[in-house]
Amino acid sequence: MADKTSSTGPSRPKSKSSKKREPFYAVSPQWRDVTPIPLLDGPPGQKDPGPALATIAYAPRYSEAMSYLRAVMAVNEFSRRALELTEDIISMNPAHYTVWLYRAKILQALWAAEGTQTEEGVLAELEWLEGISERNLKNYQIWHHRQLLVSLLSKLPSTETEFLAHILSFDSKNYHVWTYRQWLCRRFPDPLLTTDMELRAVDALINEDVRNNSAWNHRYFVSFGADELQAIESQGGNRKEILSQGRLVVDEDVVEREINYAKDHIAWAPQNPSPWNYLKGVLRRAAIPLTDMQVFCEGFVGGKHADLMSDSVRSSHAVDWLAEIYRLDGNLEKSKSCLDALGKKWDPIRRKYWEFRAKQLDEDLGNEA
Amino acid sequence: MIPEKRTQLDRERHIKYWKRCSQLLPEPYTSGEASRMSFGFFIVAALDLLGALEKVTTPDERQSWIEWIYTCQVPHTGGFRGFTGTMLGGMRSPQNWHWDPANLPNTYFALATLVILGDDLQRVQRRQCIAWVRSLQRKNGSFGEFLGENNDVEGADDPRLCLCAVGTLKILQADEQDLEIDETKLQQFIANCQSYEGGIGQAPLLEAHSGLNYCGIATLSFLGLLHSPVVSIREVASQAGLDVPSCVCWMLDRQTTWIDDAGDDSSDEEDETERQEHTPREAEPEKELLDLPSLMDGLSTDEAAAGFCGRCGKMADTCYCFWNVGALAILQQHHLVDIEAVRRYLLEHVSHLIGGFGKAPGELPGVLNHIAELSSKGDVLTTMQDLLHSYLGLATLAIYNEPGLKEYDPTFCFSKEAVEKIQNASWRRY
Repeated sequence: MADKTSSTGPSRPKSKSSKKREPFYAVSPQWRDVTPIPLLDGPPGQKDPGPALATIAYAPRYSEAMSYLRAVMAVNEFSRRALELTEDIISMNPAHYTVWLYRAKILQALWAAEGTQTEEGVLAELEWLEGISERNLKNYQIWHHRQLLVSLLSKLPSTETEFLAHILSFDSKNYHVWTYRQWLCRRFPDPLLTTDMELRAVDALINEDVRNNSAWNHRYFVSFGADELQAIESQGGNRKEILSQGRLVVDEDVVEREINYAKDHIAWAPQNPSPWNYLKGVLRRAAIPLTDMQVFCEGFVGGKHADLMSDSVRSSHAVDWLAEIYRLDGNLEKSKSCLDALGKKWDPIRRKYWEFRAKQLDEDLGNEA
Repeated sequence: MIPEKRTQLDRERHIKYWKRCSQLLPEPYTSGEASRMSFGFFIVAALDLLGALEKVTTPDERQSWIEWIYTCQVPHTGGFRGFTGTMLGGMRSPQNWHWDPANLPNTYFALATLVILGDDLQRVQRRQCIAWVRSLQRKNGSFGEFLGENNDVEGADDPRLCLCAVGTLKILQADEQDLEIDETKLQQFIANCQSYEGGIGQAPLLEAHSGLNYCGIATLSFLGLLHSPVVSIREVASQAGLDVPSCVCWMLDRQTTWIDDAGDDSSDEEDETERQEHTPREAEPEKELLDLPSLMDGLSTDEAAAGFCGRCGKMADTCYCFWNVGALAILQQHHLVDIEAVRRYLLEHVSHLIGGFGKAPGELPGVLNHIAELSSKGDVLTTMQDLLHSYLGLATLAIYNEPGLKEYDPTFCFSKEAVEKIQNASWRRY
């Protein structure tokens, strides 16, 4: 449907909060031809439907805008004023699940009608989206909308990595941003993954906050993940099996680089769980046995013969790893002493868990006897 | 505000809180309106869990709520919309009804709420609804959120929607013949979301996250329940190829004494809508968190309070007590938690004088800044933080049989008594 009223005048309220009670659309000349569809909040056709469930005390302005949104959606109006109406709704109810799809549809219709190049249109919309994203850091639809827009481009927009750094400065562990970032890397592996661009970006974030587990997870994705995803998608099947059957090519240089990276960061902050978990992931990916890490781990507990209850222990994670390493080596007594130290001293909040693990060892011992 | 120290659940206060919520939600809830059905679920399920639903609401009120829920059933799909705001009234037609779709998470919440309210589900368009759920499954085994124009599957693919899909099928008592979803692919999708840390994330290779981890585990649990005879969660997990011991270990690792009693830190989960400052804590890891002997100092007393966080290196938050304990309970490993410490966290640190639970110490339930705008996909998890935290705090206590609360079913996410009503329903034969 063509744009009926492509006016350039102000088409939505400027100071929404102060005018929550005043009608806007009903008195706007631009909306005179539209008959709003009122909210139906109960069984139709009943005079007194009784109380609805989870009734919200809507501001009159919101109720009004919604009634006009229903009216334009009902006739599939893809116009400039409808676009502005979606912005108004999004500012009040950003999680509305169809208003974003409606907005995307309007945009494409307007680009076609107004002869706007896709790239130009996308970049303008991304600029608009930036402000909305800052105000709604935890909204899913915004990121989905961004993904939809960027997927229309043939090249990585030059501003995108800068935008990501900016938005992560508000919350460096924002799950939506990291999810989008993975998608972006897969959409534009060149240049993000074919050069060291993304690896450098994630290194900077880890060095800024070594406990940023989201950044560690992304590092795994950058180093190994794209291959794994491709294998899951093309071969189908279970990721664990794909890894254990050695169906993926392992770049030994990358593995060595990443093992050293994790070890360096563990040495810097031995009680930080993120690089320990990361190291375990890298070892599994490269099919390197955990037992290879024995000497490394013993370095954080005061050596091979250290008293695990003494202050020579600098990392409970090292004690945890050693419990597993000794068990794999068949040294069940030593394994048990690690678990005891964890439950009694280093990690008492999980005492029951460490006791449970020790009991499992006893059962193993019993089975052997 | 300083929470009053108390170790007993103040049932009456919680009942009052939920009764208030059932009457009118304040204007700030508008921004989460798309998940209004989930608000309804939390209100009704909480009053039920507290054993107060029939005491503080009238039969007329409950019937009226049932009518409202049926108003949200979308005619040609049998699924339910999340709120009445998309309804086009007399203008509705095949040309525009994709703007007013049935929504998967809200369908689970609608059916669950009907069950708890004692409705017989006779008016649910069961066959259409089962077919509609089926039509939301994607090639990779996951489920979408709703059908858009040309019946395109819209929304994210993540374990939340998987949970809502199989949960809906279970409430509808779909049996093996009419199930017809690709179970193998679904199991595989969940297992592939398990990260190197051991927990499940939103998609393969994404960071492990307790909320999504819960959804993944509950999905496998529901898959087992859809079979006759029922297949145990352990067996389904093993078929799926999920590494259960590392998942359990990861969940237990989420219990933390880092609970920020000062109430001034904004390092949180999916639910902070205000801008977050890049705190020095984030920039320079606090020494005490990295240096083990000093960490021990505040830890080894019997009085420790410890909540749960949702991801590695994050602070405790009320809802993550449930996402971890609930999934552990499904796997029957919740006895490995420091139960007293989590009870102390909930009852002494995040309970409020007005009833309900905040997400962190010193935070009120029912205030604007914890309305999460996570998503429509987040309907199931983290949309409306106040109602959600208050409900999931109760749910966690109920899992550990707190006096004054009904027994809880961690897979269905509501009382066992209400779950039994599904089993006893005879409505499916038509």
